[in-house]
Amino acid sequence: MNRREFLRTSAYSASVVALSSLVLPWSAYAESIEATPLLPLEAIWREASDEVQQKIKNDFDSSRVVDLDGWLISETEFELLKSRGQK
Amino acid sequence: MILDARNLDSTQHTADVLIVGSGPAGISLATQFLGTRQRVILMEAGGKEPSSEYEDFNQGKNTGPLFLDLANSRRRCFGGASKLWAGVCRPLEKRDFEKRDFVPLSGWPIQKSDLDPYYQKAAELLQFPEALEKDEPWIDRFETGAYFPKLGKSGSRLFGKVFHQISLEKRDFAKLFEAQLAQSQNVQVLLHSTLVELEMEPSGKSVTQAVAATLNGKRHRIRAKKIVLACGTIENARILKITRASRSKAAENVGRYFMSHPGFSDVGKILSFPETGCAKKASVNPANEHLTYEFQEELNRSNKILGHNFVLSQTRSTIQPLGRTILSKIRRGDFSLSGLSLQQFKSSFLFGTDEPKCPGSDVAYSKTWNVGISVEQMPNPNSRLELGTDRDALGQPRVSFHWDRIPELERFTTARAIRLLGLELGRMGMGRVQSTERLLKGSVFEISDSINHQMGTTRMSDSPETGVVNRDCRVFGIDNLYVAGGSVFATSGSVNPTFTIVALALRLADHLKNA
Ligand SMILES: Cc1cc2nc3c(=O)[nH]c(=O)nc-3n(C[C@H](O)[C@H](O)[C@H](O)COP(=O)(O)OP(=O)(O)OC[C@H]3O[C@@H](n4cnc5c(N)ncnc54)[C@H](O)[C@@H]3O)c2cc1C
Repeated sequence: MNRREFLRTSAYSASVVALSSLVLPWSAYAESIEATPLLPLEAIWREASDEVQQKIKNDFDSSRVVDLDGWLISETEFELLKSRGQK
Repeated sequence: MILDARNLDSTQHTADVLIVGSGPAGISLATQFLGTRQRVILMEAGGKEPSSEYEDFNQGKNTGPLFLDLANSRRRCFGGASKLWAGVCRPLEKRDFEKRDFVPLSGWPIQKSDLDPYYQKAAELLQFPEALEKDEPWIDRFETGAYFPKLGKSGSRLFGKVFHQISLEKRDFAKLFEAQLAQSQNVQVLLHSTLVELEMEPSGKSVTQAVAATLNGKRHRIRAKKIVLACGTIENARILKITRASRSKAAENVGRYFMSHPGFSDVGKILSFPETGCAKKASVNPANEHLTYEFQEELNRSNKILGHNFVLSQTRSTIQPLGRTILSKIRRGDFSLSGLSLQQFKSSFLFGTDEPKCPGSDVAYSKTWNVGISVEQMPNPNSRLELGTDRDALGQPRVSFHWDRIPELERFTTARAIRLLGLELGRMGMGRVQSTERLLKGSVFEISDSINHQMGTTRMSDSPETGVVNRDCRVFGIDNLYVAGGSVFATSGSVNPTFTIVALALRLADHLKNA
């Protein structure tokens, strides 16, 4: 699955704080608010072992990164996000 | 002595040095002659305080895609724009003076080391000698520094830039130096006199006399050995164009290469990790100091990006008012929560009530941050001023100003710097960075905010092909005409300009005394 496909899956929307999935009559506001879904990156980071954290840091150090909806995340995180969403 | 040109009987004057314009550049320069044997006239178009009849001279037309607020970014009176400025000071970086292959026309004819003694002197003149070189040791004192404790320290690819802000009561150059100038026997301030003409020798190689007009119809003639234009970035070029003083190849460059420091807000978002925010609870920002971050020079060069400043701010404060607006809409019944619990709503839009807490503790931390950036502008010949067809009250053509669209290199710098910030925070385990939609779509670059820094238009160069003044701030081809102020900047750097304007004026004073 490439990045574009992943963005369209329910796994992706399950992985975000899903403000964007709410149908609200104030779309103009929603746009200007920090409506940007936050990927659960903080949780992934906090739950990761020291070894995985190091792997993620190394990814960033050597630009092994993926651009997901504007977020710059490491390839390792991308894999973790996918498996998290598919659970 | 401070005189009003409208009331003087004599209209013929002589001086060793005539300084035209009493903003930070002109006043700083004049102070260096106090108590010397040189007779100096400091000519100022306006009066002691701003007034509408003189402010009208600052009106002009914008013809470019970007808008510069010509009228409100300047003051035509004793003290000039120091009546308005915020007093934020920092020297240019060493690299700002050096040539960079990817920046056309980069590099000054002088080096930072040529200005260093004058930066020191400028800090003494403006009464903050202790404020230089605060960078790394000071970072922890700032809220951002406390939240991102590793950022800007050794091992980080960013460095922290501390800017000193002069306190409000010491910002107005006129007030700061009025008493000394009033008492001086050899420096004479001539208010209400607008330079309108520079009479040249037939060869065009030197100015014989300057002509100043008053609004009550007088014309003063000043014969001076040396003349310094210190009228501000826009007016220095305007007066050179009006008087056609510059006739060498350099004349084609007069008015070109205008630069500012456009600021782009909301270009990125940071999701900070609790380990970062919890390392140390945020401290209170020191009064009169500001912190920004920039990538180290090697990284800027290898990525071919211009100088920049990141400003990181917690999003909480911007969300709160919006949350309140939405709440009032809910109360009025024209808003539906559609499945969003009140708790979710509060934590999403109000913050403060449900701030995220550090794991295992009660300490709150800021989860999301906004990233703003201001970027160095490259010298761009298309950003320029011309003389318009409208005329001011003294019959002089008004400014027609064209500020070009934000060039590709500046757009690239912004986008690239945000990506590098993402790599850096990721590498250090501090958080993740998102490029906002506004950045990705390019709408951040449609700005109307010039940040009031005005530079270029009579740039310093080693050759009249690419500049207007030489390394001594002397106009190419004219023996006795000099320029002081932001107009001589060869590149804009990424710090506020006035501290450098003052340092350059002090350097020019030494040159004029010894020439
Ligand atoms: C809102 C605001 C905030 C700012 N904040 C900062 C900041 O925090 N830090 C910073 O570094 N910079 C700041 N600046 C920029 C700063 O004000 C300028 O860089 C500085 O004032 C330039 O000094 P100057 O002497 O070259 O020109 P000016 O201050 O523009 O002075 C020029 C003088 O020349 C006179 N003059 C013009 N034409 C003629 C003529 N034909 N004959 C006689 N006299 C003439 C004018 O009346 C004026 O007094 C700010 C500017 C603004 C507007």
